[in-house]
Amino acid sequence: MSEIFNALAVQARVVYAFILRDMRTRFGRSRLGYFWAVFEPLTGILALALIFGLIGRGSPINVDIHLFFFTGMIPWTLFSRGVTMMSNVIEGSVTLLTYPQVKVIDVVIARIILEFSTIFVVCIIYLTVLYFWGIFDRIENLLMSITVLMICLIFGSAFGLVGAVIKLYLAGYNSFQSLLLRVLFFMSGSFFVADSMPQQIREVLWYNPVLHLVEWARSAFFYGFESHFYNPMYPLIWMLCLGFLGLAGERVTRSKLRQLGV
Amino acid sequence: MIEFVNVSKHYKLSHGYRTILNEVSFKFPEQKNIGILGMNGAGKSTILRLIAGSEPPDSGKIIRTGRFSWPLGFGGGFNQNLSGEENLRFVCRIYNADLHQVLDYVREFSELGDALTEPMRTYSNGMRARLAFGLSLAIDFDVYLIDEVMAVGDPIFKKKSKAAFEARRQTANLILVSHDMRTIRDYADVIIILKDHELSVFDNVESGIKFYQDLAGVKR
Repeated sequence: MSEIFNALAVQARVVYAFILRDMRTRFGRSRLGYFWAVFEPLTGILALALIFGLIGRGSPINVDIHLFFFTGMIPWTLFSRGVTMMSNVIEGSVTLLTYPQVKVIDVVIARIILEFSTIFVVCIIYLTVLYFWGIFDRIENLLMSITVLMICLIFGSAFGLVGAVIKLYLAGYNSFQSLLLRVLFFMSGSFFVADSMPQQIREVLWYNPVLHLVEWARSAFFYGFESHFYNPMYPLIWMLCLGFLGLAGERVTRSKLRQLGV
Repeated sequence: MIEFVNVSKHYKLSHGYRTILNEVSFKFPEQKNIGILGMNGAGKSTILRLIAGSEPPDSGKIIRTGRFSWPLGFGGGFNQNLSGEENLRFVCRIYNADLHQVLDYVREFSELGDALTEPMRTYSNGMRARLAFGLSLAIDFDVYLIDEVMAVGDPIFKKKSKAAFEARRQTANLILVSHDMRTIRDYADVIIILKDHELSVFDNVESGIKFYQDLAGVKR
């Protein structure tokens, strides 16, 4: 029993060390580091919202066009952040595996914790803005909205971790993944709502788990908008399966990393 | 104490496998300084990583008691974009070592001065090795695992390293891989030879070295 506690204590120490280290590498280099963490998700969204606002395209549902984009882009941004932060997790930590107590899984845990806490802070800042914008009380279910965002991040991380494992065997996977992400992005519902699409297109779109998450997030966020399209179980099952595959893949490749040439 | 129980380790090559160890059960001599010898590519460095736990065996079990260092060699294990000091902090945290004590010791020992706060990609190989060596001396290990590199830098620094290492050896042992017979003679009490995926012990250093040199076809 004490052996297990001991091992857990070591792991907690390693994870903690990685969190501090990642904070250094990600934010510590410049004074603008934390500023970017907060505003990076905003920049792309703002640009899009401005363009669509300017060309006078209205929102497909009866809400503010900017909010419509926000609620679509933020789930997507979190998903793709999860993907990018995991897809180099194995190669990126290979030199550190020299230290026997360090495992790839510690880096995975540390990154997720760091990302969660960053998002938490970012959410509070955004919500404060929304509060002063006066639309805070128009959010239907705040807790559910945030839960969906967290699911987006974990789903993205699982997706990225699977990619990190596949990459060890297939060097070309990287380009395939960015192609796949682009397709998923345009199908993700950042610019549209699924219910307004023709039947045949909807049938194809249905297979994109990110679209389910976006519709779910919007349904939780907006009063008066309830998508008939999404099924929460679908992205959740994807998340669980990919997460399991990714962790299993990490376990299997653990003793083979050197011979796989990383 | 370190013991291999039925340990196998293979590397997959583009054609077939390279076997390092095949079902080896082996108890390493206790409280001894061990020199590991073997032909190039036999897998001496892999043995060191297995002992450290940096790499798991394909099958079998490795039992170790006591604190083992990571395999000490050039570079490795440092993030090049972080400064030397930030890297030290990281290693201290994962080993639960006293941060200030280690920092003070390494600052004094490595003579890196202001470079410690610079990103490590600006370091020379020698500077990197000095940092790694100082750091490993600052953390209390029972067994130091050394891959080729013993002392680095100019003669004065080498002398200092050797003295510091001698002091350490009062309480710690070392397991070292080297091609330099002088280093082996200086430090090792016993020799382990890795040959044909097996490990064998020579209690007498000279006979171990002789066996190895015959193996390598070196004239004496």
